[in-house]
Amino acid sequence: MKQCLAPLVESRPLGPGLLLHTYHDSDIAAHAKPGQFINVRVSGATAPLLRRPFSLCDADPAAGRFSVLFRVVGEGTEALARAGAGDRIDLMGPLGTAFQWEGVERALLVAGGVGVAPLHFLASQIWRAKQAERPAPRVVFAYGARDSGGLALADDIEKRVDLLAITTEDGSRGQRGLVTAALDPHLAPDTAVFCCGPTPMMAAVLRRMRERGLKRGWFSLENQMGCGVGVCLGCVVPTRDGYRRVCCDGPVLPAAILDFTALCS
Amino acid sequence: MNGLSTCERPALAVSLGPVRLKNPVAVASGCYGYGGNYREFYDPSRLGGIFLKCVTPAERPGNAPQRLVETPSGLLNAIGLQNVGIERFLREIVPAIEGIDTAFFANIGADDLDGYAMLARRLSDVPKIAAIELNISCPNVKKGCLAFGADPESARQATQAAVQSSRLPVFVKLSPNVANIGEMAQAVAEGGAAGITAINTLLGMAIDVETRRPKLANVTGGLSGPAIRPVAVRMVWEIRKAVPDLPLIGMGGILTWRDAIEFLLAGANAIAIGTGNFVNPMAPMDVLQGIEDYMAQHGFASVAELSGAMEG
Ligand SMILES: Cc1cc2nc3c(=O)[nH]c(=O)nc-3n(C[C@H](O)[C@H](O)[C@H](O)COP(=O)(O)OP(=O)(O)OC[C@H]3O[C@@H](n4cnc5c(N)ncnc54)[C@H](O)[C@@H]3O)c2cc1C
Ligand SMILES: Cc1cc2nc3c(=O)[nH]c(=O)nc-3n(C[C@H](O)[C@H](O)[C@H](O)COP(=O)(O)O)c2cc1C
Ligand code: FES
Repeated sequence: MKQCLAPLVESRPLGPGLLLHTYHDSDIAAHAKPGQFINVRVSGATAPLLRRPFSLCDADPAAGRFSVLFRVVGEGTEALARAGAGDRIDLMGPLGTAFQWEGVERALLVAGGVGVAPLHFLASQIWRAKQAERPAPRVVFAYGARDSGGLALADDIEKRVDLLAITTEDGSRGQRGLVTAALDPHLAPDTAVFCCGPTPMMAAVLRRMRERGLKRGWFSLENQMGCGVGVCLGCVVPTRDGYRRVCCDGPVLPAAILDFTALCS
Repeated sequence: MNGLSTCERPALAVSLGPVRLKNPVAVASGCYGYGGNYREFYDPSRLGGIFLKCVTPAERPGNAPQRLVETPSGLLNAIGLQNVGIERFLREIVPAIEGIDTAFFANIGADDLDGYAMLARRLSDVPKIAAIELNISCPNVKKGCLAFGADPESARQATQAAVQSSRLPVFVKLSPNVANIGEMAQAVAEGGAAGITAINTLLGMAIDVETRRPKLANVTGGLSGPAIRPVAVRMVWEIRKAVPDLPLIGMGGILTWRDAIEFLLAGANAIAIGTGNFVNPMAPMDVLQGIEDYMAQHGFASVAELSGAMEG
């Protein structure tokens, strides 16, 4: 983990309000793991004050590059969206925990909206392992969004996974409906689930997993952060094991301890 | 102000009564954990002091989330003193800070005078702890703490309870949520305080206008960060006038060296950085360098010369 002023290599629009930022920093690119995030100071001013966390969307150690995919939702992401190639961005990373896929034979990746970012990285990493003929799981990728415009990186993902199942709420691409409706054919008991998206969606995925007796799963959670490094205790979420810090006990937490009922109330 | 010949570097060490800091830059309670988390950014032994996260007699789970809300140039928090309690603090945290060479202040919070006395006593025998910071100003717990910081007589009693039970110097952390901060400073001085730290967070609140619900589960929280800095500087200045000779560590919204110099000019002997660490993990090191450069440029030979050097 380090702090640096990383040059923005490219800012690429990937849909309405969606941007893919690629940065250069060899250390971060070399150490980044899927599920981990960077914490970005979006302006040099005191407002917005706090850093903004973004999951790593990919990392290429050979090129010393890594990327994040973000949706413009407020002041901080608007400021970040104004940055252009060549600008140096103050960021910290890689932070937090990663998805654990070693030993998994069947992986089901479930992404909702911009939650696709860490799962895109995971799919890429597994794909690279396969290219290098290392043991790696079979990957089914279920990807849901409101409409086809929200399906950033779907074509890229399709090339790297065994099966991509797309759902959109308006039916503009793939199956119409919520991503949870596309899971059932892929819930064999030995499947490990990797999930990131809006909290109600993750709650539904966890419920379905438990109904089907699936034990192994990793979920990437979100919460308002203060420090991002574990000191302020501001980012905690309730779990079956008590409060856990999203920034350093997470963002990726094991399904076994998750309790979305407590989390949603 | 000509105490400095051109090639000398200013002296950065600060004496706070019995406590010596190697430089005037410390980190504030609850904003630095127990010293280890920022190790990857710089060596924490370079800090003048570390104020540890509050410890209470028993373990506390803290408040339900949501615990944080960002506000304009500020942060509202309602952590609720989540900590492992004094027994585990002594067993697990004290050994972990052993390798860090700086002045450690143990921040203590309790519901009653006996609790403060017990904590002060238990910490007396820990060689690694340089002083106690008596937290009578946490706005985020249901009873105790802030209640002691709200009126002069209770503050004096809490101070006295800790002072009488401990061999360690007791610094008292004052709450800004009072009408007359000078009176509070005098009261804790009477109670035997070895020094004062100020300010803790300002009581605040934020409402989500769409859901019409409070943004914090605790409803109210403590405001920190640059938004509170002018209030903090004013209070440090008033405390200095009320207790001219008591060691005083100023804090509240410090992000840069300029912010820190303001506190020193207003009368603080040293400063602490809280929320600033979250924004810039290197803030303490940047501030320290900035203070040193400022002193050299303006001809201050020591931090003591700079403390209270506001003109007019
Ligand atoms: C570990 C972690 C990883 C994250 N990864 C990503 C990522 O890869 N890509 C990404 O786009 N975002 C990600 N986020 C969310 C991102 O940090 C926030 O969207 C961002 O901080 C918003 O900042 P802002 O100043 O633009 O909006 P704010 O001014 O803070 O918020 C503006 C409005 O948007 C709402 N809002 C905040 N966050 C979200 C959100 N995630 N979705 C919808 N509405 C929101 C707020 O409630 C508010 O109403 C992640 C968050 C965490 C904790
Ligand atoms: C997340 C958080 C936790 C805090 N916890 C404590 C605490 O345990 N004890 C205490 O005395 N002050 C605590 N404080 C207050 C700070 O130590 C400091 O007095 C205050 O935040 C003002 O300084 P700042 O603006 O530099 O943060 C906390 C502040 C924050 C933001
Ligand atoms: S953001 Fe501070 S502990 Fe997680």
